[in-house]
Amino acid sequence: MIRLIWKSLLHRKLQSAALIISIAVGVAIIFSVAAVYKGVASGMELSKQRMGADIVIIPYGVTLEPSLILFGGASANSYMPKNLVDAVRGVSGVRQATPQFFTHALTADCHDIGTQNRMIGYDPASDWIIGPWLKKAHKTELGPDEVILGAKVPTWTENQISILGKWYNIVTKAEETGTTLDYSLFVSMEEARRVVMKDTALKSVWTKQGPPAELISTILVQVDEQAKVEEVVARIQEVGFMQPIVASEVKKRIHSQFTVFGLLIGGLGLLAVFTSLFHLFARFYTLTWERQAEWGLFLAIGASGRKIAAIITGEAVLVTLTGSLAGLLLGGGLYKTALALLATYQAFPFVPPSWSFLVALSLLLCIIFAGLGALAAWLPAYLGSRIDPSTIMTRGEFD
Amino acid sequence: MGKLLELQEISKQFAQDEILSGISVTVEKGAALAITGDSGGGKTTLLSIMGLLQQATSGRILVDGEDVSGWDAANKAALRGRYFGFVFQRARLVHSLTALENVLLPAWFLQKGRRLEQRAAALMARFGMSHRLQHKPQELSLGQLRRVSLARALLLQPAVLLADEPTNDLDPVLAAEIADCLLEARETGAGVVIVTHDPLLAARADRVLRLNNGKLDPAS
Repeated sequence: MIRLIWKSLLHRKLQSAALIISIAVGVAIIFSVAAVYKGVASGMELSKQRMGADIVIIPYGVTLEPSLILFGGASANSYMPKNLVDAVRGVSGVRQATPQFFTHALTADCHDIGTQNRMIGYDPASDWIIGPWLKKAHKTELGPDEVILGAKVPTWTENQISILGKWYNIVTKAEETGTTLDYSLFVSMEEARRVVMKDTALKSVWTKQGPPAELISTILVQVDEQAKVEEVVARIQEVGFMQPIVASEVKKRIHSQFTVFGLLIGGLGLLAVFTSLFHLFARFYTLTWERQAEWGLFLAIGASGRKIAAIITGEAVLVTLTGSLAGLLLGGGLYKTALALLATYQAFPFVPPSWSFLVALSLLLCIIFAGLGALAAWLPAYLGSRIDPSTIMTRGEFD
Repeated sequence: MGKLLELQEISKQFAQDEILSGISVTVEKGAALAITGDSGGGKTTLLSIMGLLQQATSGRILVDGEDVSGWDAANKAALRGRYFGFVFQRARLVHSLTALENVLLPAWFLQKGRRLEQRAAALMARFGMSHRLQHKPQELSLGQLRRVSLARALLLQPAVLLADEPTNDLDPVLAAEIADCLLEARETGAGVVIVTHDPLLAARADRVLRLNNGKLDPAS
């Protein structure tokens, strides 16, 4: 029977191919959108948990998009005086504040990693971001030759990494955050300052803004539970030339931007799915009329009505399954392309969905589409199984 | 001779028209019965009723002595598969299958396809079709299509072979060849029923009946 189904589909190559393609497009869009959406949603959630700051303060005049600073970790060679940290700590409603010092982007020409990474110097005395990672490694603070690596920083050896010719011991690898913190290297603030001092390209920056020892790149702020973030932001702005970014608002804005994006793409995907389903149902409905004589022959030579129904349903399920598998391959390609785009722009936090999620999604799509195929075949199968076998004596020639 | 198939007082009505009226006829082992008559006279309907493809309005059908008139569709389908072989007016081959696969089609429904592949090929060889086993129906001539159709009907060695105008549209030489193949089935004990307009074919049967005004009479 499988052979009969297979031969029938091969015989109607064009019709089968059209159906398979239309199903594949629908499945591909659903798969890629669902996978990307899941990755961004997880990234948003994870970054919310791991960033742990309500407000991120950057030097006044930095014109980067807030989402790039928050999630993209874009490094601008702009710094502010370190005494602003104490000023911020004095603001009413601020529970705690910790400074960080960024180096500019490290590229293959200045270290041995090979990808673009950023070095972040943290303040062990006030930090609450790096601390938990250190605790995991049973340490209280980082020494001058120690480094914590972001989750996705590539390493060639297990225990050491060379940056600008200096070997650092890897204390631990941080957990994934879904942001470019995953591509960052965390060292003590003194060490980060020592590294930038060696960089001749930044000499003009120190001449203009002062020695690195007196500068910081950002201040991460947590507000009191009862305090209103907007009011704290307003008070921080009164303290000095700083640019506070409310993390939750940026996240909310990104979330809504992504939701709109997801709805748009998802809507197009649904449209493609509906079109392919309409195509599927229409195709199998017309079979009811086109292939009566053929089914009549099968009945005449001994096939039961149930077998005819199984043949029709089998054709539908095979077409939808083939379409679904092709769609998953295509969807995998679309997903990879989307990942590459997200990696290029890094405006969305992204944690790749687990393999188990992707496998479950693939299985679910196959099951749903096979089920829809069976549903599309239900009417022709029902009618085909009840066909009058004498049709074979009276009907015209069949294909 | 044993009775393979017996129709008792079979009538068939379409709306107000009675196409068949109280027909009784038997098909016997190793014998060929030809049914002639005017076009539209109900010959094909009678053959359909004999082959359990169509329900009679009244009357009884006995297969190997058992009344099967009241059987349900599934049981009738199963009986058709193992007891009857059909040669339809047109070849009725499935275009997605090769000639050999078309011959094997009834066996596929009984899950006997692999076991009967040799027999199918032997039947095709007997009908001079060995060189056309892998050809699709659209690549075969009319005579070849009929031979494939006949091989399909004979594959499961049916007790009763029913043929509807098997030599229609064929030239006399080809018609004679097909008739030979068809009537050969008697040698294995099959009962052969042929509905035909062809007097030459009818003349080769053991018995000829004429359907006239819904009744079967011996042909003159």
